[in-house]
Amino acid sequence: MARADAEQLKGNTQALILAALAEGPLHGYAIARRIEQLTDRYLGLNEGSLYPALHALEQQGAVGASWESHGGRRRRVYRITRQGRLLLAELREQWRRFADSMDRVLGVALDGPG
Amino acid sequence: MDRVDAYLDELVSHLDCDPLRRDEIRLEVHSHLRELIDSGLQEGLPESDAVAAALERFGPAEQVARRLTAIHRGQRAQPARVDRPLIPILLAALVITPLGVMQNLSAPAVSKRFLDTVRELPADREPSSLVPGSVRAAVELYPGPLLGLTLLLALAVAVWHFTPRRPWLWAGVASVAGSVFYLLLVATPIWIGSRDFPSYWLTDVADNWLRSTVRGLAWPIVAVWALPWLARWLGRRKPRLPWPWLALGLLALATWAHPLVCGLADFVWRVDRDSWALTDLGLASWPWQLTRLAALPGAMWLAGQWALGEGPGHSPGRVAGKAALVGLAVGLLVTFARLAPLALQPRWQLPPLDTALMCGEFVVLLASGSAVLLLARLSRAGEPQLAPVGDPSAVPAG
Repeated sequence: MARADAEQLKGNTQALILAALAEGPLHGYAIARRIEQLTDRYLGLNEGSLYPALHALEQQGAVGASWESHGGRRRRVYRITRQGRLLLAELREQWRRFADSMDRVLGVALDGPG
Repeated sequence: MDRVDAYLDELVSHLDCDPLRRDEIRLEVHSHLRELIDSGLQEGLPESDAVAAALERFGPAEQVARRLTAIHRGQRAQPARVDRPLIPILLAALVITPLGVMQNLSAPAVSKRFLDTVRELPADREPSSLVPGSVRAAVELYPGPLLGLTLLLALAVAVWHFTPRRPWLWAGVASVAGSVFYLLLVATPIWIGSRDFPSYWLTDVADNWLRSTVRGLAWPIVAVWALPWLARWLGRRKPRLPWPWLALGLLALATWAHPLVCGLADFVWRVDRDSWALTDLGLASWPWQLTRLAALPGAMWLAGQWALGEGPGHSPGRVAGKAALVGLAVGLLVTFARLAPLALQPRWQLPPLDTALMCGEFVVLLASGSAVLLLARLSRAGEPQLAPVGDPSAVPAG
């Protein structure tokens, strides 16, 4: 399946990360894989965008992080906070309204004359 | 892996943020790249292709670094977040330190009664053997220097937080400057009354000052800065084998257990107290002191990393605080180890002065560790109030 355009993803990186973390704590690599898995690889976060977005969320208090060791490899594991869940709910609502609006506009364009 | 190292080197060279944060980012990206490369190898790619694919996913190092810098520089641009808690500490230090100086200058660090007794001592008697207990010795010897040390602590912590670009350099400078000040603080009243002091008393004070200062101020700095740096350097070669720290930890445990071993040996084999009390355990035992000095930071760091689940890339205050608390726990254990033989065998008499000085060191260690831990907590508590520096292209409002 073709992948989504990076521009389409750009504004939604934080929402995707928070949604992935809402299911449980994950490290950066696992977050990227989880998003790919949930969307049959249609959406894929570029790693170069993932960490700036994660660190920004951490600064906002939306996620917390701690170092953990797995099989001798140290990973920084992120967890969504209460503040993060509130932010996720807000971003979901914003997305719904955005998607509805797009549907309406595109629907009009598709059904219209010509 | 040369390409991965080169990528990471380029990434951190473009990161303009706190050095510890830089280390942390390097570790995190390195871990992620390893996962991507392993995944590529599992899919049957040759290693060079797996590495290339992993690096391609991250994109140009400079671009990633620029994005990360934008976030972390934003964090640093909020000085009130960290500096506010320092203000009461600095004010307290400014009030307390002159009191400490006055206390030291107006009356000698030891009581008049104690000095009178010292003057009457035969030449071959040690003055500390006259002090009836370690608590009393600590009270008589330590108040002034400890008050003065508050200033050093405040100086080191202030420099640490006010100079985010080179905190370790300036913390080191503050420690050295503070130590000189501390020496003057302690030594001035002793010089004033030096005619009445046996010469070895001065030597002991200077010796203990040196050890206390080095341990109390340098260990947290070493544990936070030098060891993580060394661990990272070693870790790039032996990622799964922390044997250097294990060896250092065992060495430290061996040296700290030494008094207890000596005490038990004495208890079992009736070794004469004089054969070990001052020579093996005391101030003259420089090989042991140097070994401890070298080994304890390793043990502190190791314990902090393993027992407390922390990594080398954590915030300096948090690691320093935890390392200092581990050091304190070890210190209390050692104090117990030194005192335990007394309980077992009343005929021994550990030099109470030495024990008191040890207790003082641990107080200093506790104070410095607690202060940095508190500051780290306060600074973290302020993080949610930061101005959000989020995704530059936020989801459009509905």
